[in-house]
Amino acid sequence: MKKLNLLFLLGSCFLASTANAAAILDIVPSIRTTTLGSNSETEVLFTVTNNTNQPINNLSINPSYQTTGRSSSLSLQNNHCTTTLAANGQCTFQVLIQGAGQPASFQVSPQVCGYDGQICSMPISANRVQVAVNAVSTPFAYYSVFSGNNANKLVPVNTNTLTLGTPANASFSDPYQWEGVAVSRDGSRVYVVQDGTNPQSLGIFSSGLKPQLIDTVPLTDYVYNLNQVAVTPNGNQIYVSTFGSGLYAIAHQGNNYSVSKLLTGFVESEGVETSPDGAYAYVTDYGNGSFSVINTSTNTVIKTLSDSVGNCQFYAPATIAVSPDNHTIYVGNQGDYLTVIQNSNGQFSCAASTINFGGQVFGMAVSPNGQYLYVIVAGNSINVINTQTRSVVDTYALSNLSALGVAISPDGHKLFISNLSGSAYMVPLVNGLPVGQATEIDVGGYQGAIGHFVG
Amino acid sequence: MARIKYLAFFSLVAFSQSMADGFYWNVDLGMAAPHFTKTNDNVWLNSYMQNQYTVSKPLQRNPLLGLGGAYQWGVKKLTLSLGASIYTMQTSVSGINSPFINAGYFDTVNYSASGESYAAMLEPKLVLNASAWQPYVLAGAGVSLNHFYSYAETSSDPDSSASPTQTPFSGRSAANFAYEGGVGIQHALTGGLNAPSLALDYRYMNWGRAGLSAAPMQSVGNGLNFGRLTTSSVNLRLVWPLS
Repeated sequence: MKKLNLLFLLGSCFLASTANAAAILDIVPSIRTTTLGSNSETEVLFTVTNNTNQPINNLSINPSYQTTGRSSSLSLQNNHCTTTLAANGQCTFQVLIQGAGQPASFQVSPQVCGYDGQICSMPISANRVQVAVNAVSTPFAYYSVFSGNNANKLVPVNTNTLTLGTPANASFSDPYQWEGVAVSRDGSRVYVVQDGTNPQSLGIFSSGLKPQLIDTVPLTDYVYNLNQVAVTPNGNQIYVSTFGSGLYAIAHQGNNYSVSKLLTGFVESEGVETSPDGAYAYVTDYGNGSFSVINTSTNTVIKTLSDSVGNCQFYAPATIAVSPDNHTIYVGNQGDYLTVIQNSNGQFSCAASTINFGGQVFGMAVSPNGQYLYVIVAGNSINVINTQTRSVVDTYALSNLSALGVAISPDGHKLFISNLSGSAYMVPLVNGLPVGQATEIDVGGYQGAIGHFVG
Repeated sequence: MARIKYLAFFSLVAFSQSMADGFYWNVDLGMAAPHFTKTNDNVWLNSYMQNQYTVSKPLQRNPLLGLGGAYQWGVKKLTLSLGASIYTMQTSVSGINSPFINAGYFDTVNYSASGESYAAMLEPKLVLNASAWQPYVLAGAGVSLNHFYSYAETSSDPDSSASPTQTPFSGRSAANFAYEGGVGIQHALTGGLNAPSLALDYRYMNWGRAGLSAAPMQSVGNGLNFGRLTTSSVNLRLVWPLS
């Protein structure tokens, strides 16, 4: 028996030592899954950590190591891991992933070597980026136009050529109303809040050059206007906020869309978003100054963070953006600041400090790699936030605009702006930062699009 | 010294008197289990990093081939032969590379290398030929050449972070002193004094040092050493007269 005990002890020690093995170089991506079109591209940021107590010099990176995709469509950029990585130090690099010629899904696991290739590491399996390529050839921006020649139309804009497709009939209130638009993750459906109809409704449209109305879901419980819309990645749950005490949960099964639940108890539901994994929906209560988390499986509120409780500060919270890794949720307040909410394995809490601006916060969008948050402030500027430092790193003026919504193209190279008092605009991005002149897009009227209206 | 010379002369005369002298060819076909005497080698690759290479011990059986000739003298119930043989064997070595062992325990990679060995031995052999089944002992000493090459690494766990080096160790050929010892039993295949025979024996062979040369970017230290390559083998030996 003593012998058996000794063997067990030795075995336990061996297992323990095996479990303690670590990476020489930890290689962690900013996102673990991403989707892109077959003619678009995206960047993924990788952070490399030297886990040894020795400097590692002569670094080299192979971005297409063991990829199951087309290796020539993976390239290295913004590489800051070029010379020596200090003991316990960190550096970053990006892998540019092009969808052209890629299989429907593949894996990206860049190899980082040190000492002229004498030691090499790759991401552990959980940190290898899964890429899905959908067959949508070109992403479109969809604008809900409420005035002008294209009043009450959903206007598609080709994000590559910036030319208009064929507008589809819709119905929006006039004037200057926020009109939520959301594009499904696979780019095949466009969900549009229609608050100019009687009854008010959610319109479900096909996507692309000529959107067609597929279905309409009446949302009749409130006389208040409908507001914003968000959809889970699998397209099975859609949430519509109402400027009233309710939030609609709409289920999609087969070809049918119907209201599955009306969540009540809000003073005025406003901002709404879903988590990248589809497990949660996030909603802000504009009137009450709070933020709630909804379990999408049960459509019940599982957590509410209120103003002045703990670190939380809210004042008229109106918009929401979520980091691709779902660890950070940004809440835009009409009180000129942004509240940062941290998600640690389903435990939600407010960060100690807010990010302050010189005006009201409107639409927000996060870059596909999670590196930057773009915030429309006071309707006349884009503030670029570095999501790691949570500081403003760039401000881009949108002179003479009443900018409302901002959405980013899947390749992360273009921002699309909706404008409550003029044409829409496209702002080019270089390495994630706005550069050069914005391009005017005449969509035939003023637009209230807010949400993920590009895809 | 005079006494030794006398005994040797007496022995030769005695054997030659009892059995016809003759040359014989021998061919060996065996199955050998290789073993490396150095199971752990800590190798500095540069001034910061030391890797530990641990030879694993998978069950390995490699064919062993031999060819030789001998002159033998027989007298009464003893036969002495003195010959020379050459041997060759293909082998491989595998194990685990624990990188950066001087800085902690990190994800490991498996390594492997191929090898081929050659030996030329002078082989005295003493046979007790009192019956049809004739036990014998043999010994040998000579030179060997061990050539190891094609070093390669693969992740020990595909889910881990470990990734193969881009600068593997280079091949190495090394000449060594080699020796052997064995026991066996043989049986004549036909009648007559100089009949062909078939033998089955166990043999221990020490092939000398084995290893790999330094990696191309290795700035300090030498290559990877496996110590001495030894084999335990079971062999069939066919012996037949030259004429």
